[in-house]
Formats: sequence, C-alpha cells, structure tokens
Amino acid sequence: MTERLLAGGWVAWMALRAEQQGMRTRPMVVVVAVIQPVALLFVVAGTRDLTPGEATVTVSAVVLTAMWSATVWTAGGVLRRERGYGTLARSVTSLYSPSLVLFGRSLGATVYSAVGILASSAVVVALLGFRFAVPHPGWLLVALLVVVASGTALGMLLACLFLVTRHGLAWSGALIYPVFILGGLLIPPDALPVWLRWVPALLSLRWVHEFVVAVSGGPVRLAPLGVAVALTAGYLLLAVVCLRVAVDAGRRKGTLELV
Amino acid sequence: MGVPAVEVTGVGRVFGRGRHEVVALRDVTFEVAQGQILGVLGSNGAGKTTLTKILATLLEPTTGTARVFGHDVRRELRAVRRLTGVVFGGDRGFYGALSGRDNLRYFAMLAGVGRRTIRAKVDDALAGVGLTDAARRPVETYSKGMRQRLHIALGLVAEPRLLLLDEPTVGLDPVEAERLRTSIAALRRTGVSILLTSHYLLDIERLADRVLVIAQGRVMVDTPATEFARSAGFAATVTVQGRGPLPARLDSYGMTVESVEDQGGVWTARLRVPDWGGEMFQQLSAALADADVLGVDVAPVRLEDVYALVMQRLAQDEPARTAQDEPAGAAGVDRR
Ligand SMILES: Nc1ncnc2c1ncn2[C@@H]1O[C@H](COP(=O)(O)OP(=O)(O)OP(=O)(O)O)[C@@H](O)[C@H]1O
Ligand SMILES: [Mg+2]
Repeated sequence: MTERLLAGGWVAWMALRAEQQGMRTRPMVVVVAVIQPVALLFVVAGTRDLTPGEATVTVSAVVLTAMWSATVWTAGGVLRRERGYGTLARSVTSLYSPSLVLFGRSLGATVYSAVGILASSAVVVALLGFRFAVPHPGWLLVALLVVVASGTALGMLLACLFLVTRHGLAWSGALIYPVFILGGLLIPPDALPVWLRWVPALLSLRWVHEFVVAVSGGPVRLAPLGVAVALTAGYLLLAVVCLRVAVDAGRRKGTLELV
Repeated sequence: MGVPAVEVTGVGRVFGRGRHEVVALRDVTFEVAQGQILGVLGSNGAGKTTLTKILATLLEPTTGTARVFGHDVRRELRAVRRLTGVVFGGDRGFYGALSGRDNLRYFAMLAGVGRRTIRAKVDDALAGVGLTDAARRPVETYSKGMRQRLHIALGLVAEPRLLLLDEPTVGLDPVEAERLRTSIAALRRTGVSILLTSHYLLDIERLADRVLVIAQGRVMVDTPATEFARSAGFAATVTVQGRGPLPARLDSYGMTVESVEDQGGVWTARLRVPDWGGEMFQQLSAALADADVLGVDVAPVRLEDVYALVMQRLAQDEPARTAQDEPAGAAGVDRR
C-alpha cells in the first residue's frame, strides 16, 4: 500500500518536474505570469490612493484574474501540447492512470505560474507603495492553497475539454475574456445582469476572492471557501471522467496519436 | 514453449465511417512464438502500423482478439503494457525543450521502470544507442537519426519481453543500423520476442524467423523466413557476358533465361538457377564450353527480389480472389 502510494507520488512528481522544465522555454508563461498581473495592477490601482482594505481586495482580484489566464494557457494546454509533440499516446496509455499523470503536469504548471504571478505582483505592490491589511495571514495561506488546488483541477478539466474539441487554441482564446468580465473578480457579480449571475457562481476563484474580501475587512467567513473547495472537487471529478472517456474514445477511433 | 508471445485471431480494424471508411486490417490471424522474430512486410498503407498499435494497446481492434502472452489487449491493458516495449520511429514523440536524458527518464518512468533503478537503466539505454555524449542536449537539437536512437532506447529501457519495432532503422546511418540489427539479434538470444516491420529487406533477411506479408490489410503470406526466400523459385541470378554465337543449351538443367541483350556483338544473358552448388557450376560450365565467355557474375537471390515477385503475383491474383471471398459491396469500399 505505502509502496503504491510512494510510486504514485513519484509519478506525479516526475510529471510536475517535466512540465516545469518545459515551461521555462515557453514565452506564454511570461505573458500570463508577469506581464498580465503587472499590467492589470497598474490599470486597476496605479493612479488611485487605496486604503489598506481596498489594497488587499484589489491585489486579490488581480492575482486571481491572472491565475485564471495562467490556468487556461498553461495547465489547460497540457494535453493539447502533448498532441503537438506526439507524446499524447505514451502519456495516457502508460502503466499509470492518465489522471495521475495529468494531475502532476497540471500541478506543475499551476505552481509555476502562481509563483510567477505572486512574485511579479509583489514587486509592483512594493513599487506602488501599497499598504496592506492582513489580519489573518494563516487564512490567506489556506486561501492560496485552495487557489493552487483549484487551478490544478480546473486546468485538468480544461486540458481534457481542449483535447476533445480539437480546437483547443481557439477555445483558450475564446474563454479568456468572457471570464475576465463575467468571472466576478474585476467586475463585482452584482454589477452583472441577473440572467448572467450564475456564471461567476461556477468559478471557484470568485469564491476565494469573496473569502479574501471578507477576511480583509472583518471576521473569517468559511462558507465561500467551502464553496470553492466543493467546486474544486467537482472540477477534479469531471476532469477524471472526461479524461477516461476521451482516452477510451481515442483508442476506439484511432485519434490518440497521428504517427 | 508455453503461450505464444503474440496471438492474433481474426483481427479487423476499420477507420472512419461512410465515404471516409478505410478498412486497415481484415481478418488477420497469426502467432509469434516466444523468442521468435516475426518480420512484417507490406507496402505503404498495408496496415503494419495499425497492427503494431493494436498490440501496443494504443488502438482497439474493431473485430477479433489479440493476446500478448495470453493477456487480451482489450481487457488487460496494464498486463500487456508491462510486457511490451514499442518503437514507433519518427521525428516526434519527445519534448523538444527537454534533454534526451530527461525525456528518456520521464518515459521510462511511465513505462514502469522503478525509481531505484531508473538512473542506471536510463544511462545504460543511452549508452546502448550511443547517445551518452548528447544526453544533456535538448532533443530539438537532435538529428533525425539521433531521435530514432532515442526512440529505440525508450523501447528497450523497461526490458520488455515483447518488442514491437515499427521501422526501427529508418534514418539510421549504415553503421548504426547494423549495430541495431546486432543488438536485436542479441535480444532474441535472451528470449525476447519481437515483431519487426521494415521496408528495408536487409533487416528482415538478417533477423526474421518468420515472414508475414500484409497487403490491403490482409495476411497474404505467413511462412518461415527460409521458405519465404525459397518462394521466388530460384536461388541465384547468373549473368554471363560473351562474344559470338549464343550457346544453345542455356535453358537446360533447370536454368531459365530471364533476358538476353546484344550490344555491338557482345551479348549479356541473365539466367536464374534453382540452386547454386558444385553440380550447377559444372552444368553451367558445360553449357558455356563452346562459347567465347568474357565474364560470369553470380548474385544470390535477395529478399528484395522475392518480395517484388510476391507482390507481383499478389497483384495478378487480386481481382479473382477478391471476387470470390467478399460480397461486392464490402470489396468496393476500400479499393476505390
Ligand atoms: N487514425 C487513422 N484514421 C484513419 N485512417 C487511418 C488511421 N490510421 C491509419 N489509417 C489508414 O489505415 C491504413 C493502414 O495504415 P497503416 O499506417 O497501418 O499502414 P502501414 O502499413 O504502416 O504503412 P507505411 O508503410 O506507410 O507505414 C491506411 O490506409 C491509413 O490511411
Ligand atoms: Mg507504418
């Protein structure tokens, strides 16, 4: 049992490392993990004087929005890129569960982008001289872990969807901006028309944001974080099912690999 | 000998639907005994790669069953994968930005090499294909043949009991190709069973115990390699050049005259002989006794000639055979 767990952990770790090694050479990472958060921060906060509470909320919104882009372009592209390299068949028909392999890669991509986004945001925040309200640092750390878990699960789900549709690149581009507007991060959900308010409710990052907003201005409210965790579990489950269906279909139709 | 390494029974595979339907394999049945090398021949699009993919569990057969050491490729995926190594050649199949060693380590892990032994096995595999010096370079800087070598290292690194080699010598320089042939032969001696497809008949000639010829998805020939070489009906081609009158008895003693050319009083006769031994030599000398011979050259029949002849015969037989054993509708689908 322990041996199997160790082996599983090792597989995920190797996948994580392989993904991160590959990311070093991809310019898209710089766009989503550096240029985007920096630009957003300047646009949203650069010219205003923010109270410490507002500063926390603004930085949270920007970091989470950047995380969404990063998820779409890095973790969400994992399987699409595998197809491009011609490594898809080997990755999903190995001795290990394809979900485990995808999990490792998605986690690798998410951690890599999260570190980039946090680091570049920190630099801008220091330059702009923001003062923060951080009443519950421990809970913020928990929120960050939920963000990474959520990004990983969402990345896995998107990776499968982009694989199934075969037009992953087009879908990636198409999905980015609607979520900027409808995601409930930069634009508060109650500014949206009523018939569109369900959209942000499906996005776990928006619930994390609500949690951060609450924490920065008052007592800890765990409900939003709970919703985010539940949504994350939902993404993960959907991703595992989707990947299994996609791989089985690929083996039946002969679309796994175009050698 | 135990269960066969590969047991394929009535396997068919159809791609696409309706107008785009392609029948890649139909009713394919054969076996590879343990420790044997099966050479699979067939023209482009005959279905060789499709067959390899089915055995590697990358593709499901539409009909029929295929087993690897008794394990069904449809239901016992993990068991089959654990026993099988596969080499699909080509430029792709690696992460370009990662080094050869990192690529190999990652895929060796996926192929089941354990974490305690992986470092040593990866280094051995790299050394085995002569890539030790280039191991740290990104794969995108590799030449075609270097990528092919990495593919081969990857197919071997998990020490499979069945090796599926789809055109393994493509892109290799002659020295490296010969080295690969030698190591394939050595693998067989350790009991590894091998299915080998190749368009280079030298690979098949040197290595295969049995030969399978596939044409349009169907098994046309399945014989021991020695039989296959004999199926040309002659053992060697003798080319004789001479001056003056052509000897009369050239087509006796079982020799057949393939062609005679005359150029400025010098004739060149090409003869096929059923075997090439002392007796044949004496008979040929007798037949040429009165002629003014300028030169004689003997070329043993090559597998290439046999293959060409077999394909020629198949092409001639094709219309008749198709009409017999298939309903007209089904036959019409993939031929037109
Ligand atoms: N994924 C696929 N979708 C549709 N048709 C396919 C697919 N894979 C193979 N085919 C078709 O199946 C037939 C057999 O292809 P296969 O690749 O097995 O040939 P092959 O014998 O390996 O040829 P080659 O010598 O050129 O490698 C071809 O007509 C090919 O077009
Ligand atoms: Mg092929």
